[in-house]
Amino acid sequence: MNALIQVNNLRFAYGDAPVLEDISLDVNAGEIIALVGADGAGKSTLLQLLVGQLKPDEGELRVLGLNPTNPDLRSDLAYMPQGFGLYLDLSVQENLAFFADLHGMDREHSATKIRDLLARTGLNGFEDRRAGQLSGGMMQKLALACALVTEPKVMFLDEPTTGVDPVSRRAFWRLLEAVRNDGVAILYATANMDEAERCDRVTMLDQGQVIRQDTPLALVAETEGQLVSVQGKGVRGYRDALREFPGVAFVFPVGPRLNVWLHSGIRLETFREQLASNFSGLEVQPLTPTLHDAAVRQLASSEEAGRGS
Amino acid sequence: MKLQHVRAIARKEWWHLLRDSRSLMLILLMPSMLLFLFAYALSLDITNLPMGVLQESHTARSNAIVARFDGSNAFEVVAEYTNRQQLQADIQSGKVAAALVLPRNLDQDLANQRGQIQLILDGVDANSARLAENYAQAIINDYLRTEGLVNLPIEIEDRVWYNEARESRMAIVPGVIAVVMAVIGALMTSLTFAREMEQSNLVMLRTTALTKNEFLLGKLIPYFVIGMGDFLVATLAAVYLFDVPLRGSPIALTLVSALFLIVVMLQGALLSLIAGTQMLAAQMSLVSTFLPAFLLSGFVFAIENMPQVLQYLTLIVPARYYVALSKLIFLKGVSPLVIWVEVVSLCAILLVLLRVVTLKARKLGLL
Amino acid sequence: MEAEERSSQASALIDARGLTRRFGDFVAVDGIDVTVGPGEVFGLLGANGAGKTTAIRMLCGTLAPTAGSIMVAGQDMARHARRARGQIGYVAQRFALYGDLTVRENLRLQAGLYGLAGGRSRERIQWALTHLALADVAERMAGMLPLGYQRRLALAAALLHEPKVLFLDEPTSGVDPMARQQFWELIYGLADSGIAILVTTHYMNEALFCDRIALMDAGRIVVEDDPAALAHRSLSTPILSLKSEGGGTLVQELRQWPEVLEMIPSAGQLRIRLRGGCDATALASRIRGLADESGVAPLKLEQVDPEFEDVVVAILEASQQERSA
Repeated sequence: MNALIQVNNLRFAYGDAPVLEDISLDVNAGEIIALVGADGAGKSTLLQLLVGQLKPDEGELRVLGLNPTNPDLRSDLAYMPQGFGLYLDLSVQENLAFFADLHGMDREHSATKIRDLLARTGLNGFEDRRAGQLSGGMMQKLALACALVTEPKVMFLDEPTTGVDPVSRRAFWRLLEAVRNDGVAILYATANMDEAERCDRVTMLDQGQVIRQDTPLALVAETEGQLVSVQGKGVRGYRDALREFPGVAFVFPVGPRLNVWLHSGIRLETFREQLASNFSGLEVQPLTPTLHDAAVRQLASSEEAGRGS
Repeated sequence: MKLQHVRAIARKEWWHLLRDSRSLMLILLMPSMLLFLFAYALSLDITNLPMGVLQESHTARSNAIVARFDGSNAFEVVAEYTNRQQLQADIQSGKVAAALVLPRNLDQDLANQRGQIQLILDGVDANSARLAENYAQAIINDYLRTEGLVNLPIEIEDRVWYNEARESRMAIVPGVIAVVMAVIGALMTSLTFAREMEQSNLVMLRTTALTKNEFLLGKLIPYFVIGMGDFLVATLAAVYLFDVPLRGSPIALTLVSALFLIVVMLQGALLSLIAGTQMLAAQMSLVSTFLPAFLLSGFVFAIENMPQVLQYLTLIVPARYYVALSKLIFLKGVSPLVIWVEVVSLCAILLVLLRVVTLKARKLGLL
Repeated sequence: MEAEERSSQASALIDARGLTRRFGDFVAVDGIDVTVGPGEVFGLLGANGAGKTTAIRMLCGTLAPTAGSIMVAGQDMARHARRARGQIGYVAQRFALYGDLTVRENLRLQAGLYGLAGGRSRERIQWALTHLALADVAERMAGMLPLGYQRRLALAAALLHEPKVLFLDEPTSGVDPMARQQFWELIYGLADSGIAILVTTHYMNEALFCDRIALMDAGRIVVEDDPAALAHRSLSTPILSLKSEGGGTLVQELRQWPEVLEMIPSAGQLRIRLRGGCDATALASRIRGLADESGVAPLKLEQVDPEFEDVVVAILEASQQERSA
């Protein structure tokens, strides 16, 4: 199968400052690929390159087999920029109608399409409300609906769930998964690991470089050692003591508990016994590491290695 | 260029307008407001206009006429002169705004059914000067009537210094129309582009099949329609409310106005692209269209009387050409074909602006 | 420890009661109570528009409440606003310092604004530079620093006058997971020294770092608890955890089932959230049956505790339903 979005050895710099270096990735039909990294890691730049708003310095970009700057491509791709790009003073209906117009739809087709999208996104009943008066969650659904008007084959989403409550975020993901099932290739930029975890594959960016690239499952499985949680009254006060404790690789305080990574080969029972004989009132539970946990663990060890050398 | 894209943008722009009550007010009220403001506010009554008097011989009649002037609400005699140099100096310095010269042989002339009274007016304020003239005429006529000299013609020789080309009140209205169109055209257009740049919409539009020219055209069409609507309202008001005669061809006037409107709209678009924010764009377009249309177009101040530097500056003010054209069409009924220099100048400015706007748009990566 | 907690409750550093703010007819904040003791990290969680920002502005003393009282470090905000504000450090979500000044200049400026004089100012700036690991970049332009550094600088600036209360607005949004962990380590260090910390955020994974969370919706606090306890609440929408290999068709099939509300991949498993009132056990056996038919044996299929986010979602859904009813 030919990937709908292909990036090969991409390099891009603003003047002398490198923004992206040696990036390669591909997205197939019916896949959501996460582009995850901190603000400034280069996510938005990569998306802008892929929608033809910037030109790469080196490397090859192909969207549906074409160069992203090719105007023929535009009717087949959808882009949701940060801040959505909606017209806040126009109503829901008008925003949709405008993008349908731009797509060159005839009136009848566009009316049907808009009705269908309103129903799918649960925005029916809000047709006449101005976009600026919508809640964050509804605004985001409208942005998605506007992107879908063109029936795109590829979609680029730039942190679409910022500022949105978790209920709406889940609703948004349900919509997005339906879009994926229709065979659309989706590249999804986010700073959140838990959203990356919902994607088919993950590309982690750090300072313009790909640091890891795999399925969420594989990324977690590659992580060394076991994660346990240590809980108990005032447990945070023990964090430095635990860092020196035998068998402990890393200790990360998270609210009222400590996430403790044990070195590989350390058995949970052994650790629990040793802990009990040194501190009282602490409870140890095994945790299934999430992608977030795994990422913290990996970043911490590479940072430690960096300091050691 | 796809017509549907242009239509999509134009339709969207229309929606924006209908939503934005402030813009709507501006569009609907601005032309009539400005027209009333200038045409009426400028014709406010004069009271106690400082007047100087030069009686070349003091006779009963000349004293009576001076007393009539002094007794009127409109004038107040503040100085008596014995020679013309003094009088001229005072007008020049603004100490008096009008001067009455009663000739030596006034009594005789009146008896012989002729006569000449000279009224000298400070023409800097063309409007007051015009009013002063009317009042002066009325006062003298009234005097003559009471003296039983009704049928005697008497000429007031008004010599307007500084603004020799002063025209009647009719001249104001075509100028107002120019100002209205300049403001509506440039201000509205400048806001619309900047708004699109301020929000993140452009980023999104760039990934659609829309082209730059479709975008520009689509955005300009609604404002063109509105600008022409305003032109129509202002012209109808001028003809029917202010009794300004439209002596020339209405079609010629419309065509010339459309040309001018496109020029100022391009000006607004350019400012908008340069400014990038609505606030700045609005300020820039007001300063660069309203003020020149008002001050440098020949509407209020005659261009010939401006300092040389300013006269050259007016050459790049589109309103200058438009005011000249519309005045001639309105008041003199001249065909634009006769005054083709102005038309060609406007066309030249249009082409230059069009080029600069497209270049700037390309440089900004606008679509 | 128990006693210590009770006494901290009594000597709360932030103590707001019945806090209400109306804008015309709109009630932005509707009678909320917020209490944060020394050393406590309290999270105010809610979507944009839930009332967080209005609440924070009132607590900081930049917006007068329509009703209710606010005590900050023993000072009444209504009566001694200036004194109360002197006890507060505030770190905005956006970088609010001067990008064209160096780190040290920014701190010096801020110290001046807080009214710190010569020796004391130098001492505090030195403390901030070392304590927040900014010494290496002290002479660099603040605007040129990476996001993580800018956040630390903003924190440093807010701590110069040794406030007893610290407000943090989405302190770690947009940073990488490691930087987030490190930033929180700093915050916990501050909490250890007895500062009361109030965090506002709409990110679940940021809220998890708090000791106690209040969830806001439509101007009200709909639930308040510690995140671990929240996760142990029983939900009306049961959750099954499925681990299977090559179960693509199985997943497609499950998506169609009316009982299935949503399926969320997490930690290598598929968490299946069921509609309220579903019999989880019955459904689990149906799924097993389906898996057997299609020849993929699930490695694991069991009912599990909800995660923090599941609870929050359930509470918000209930609250939103109540409102629309």
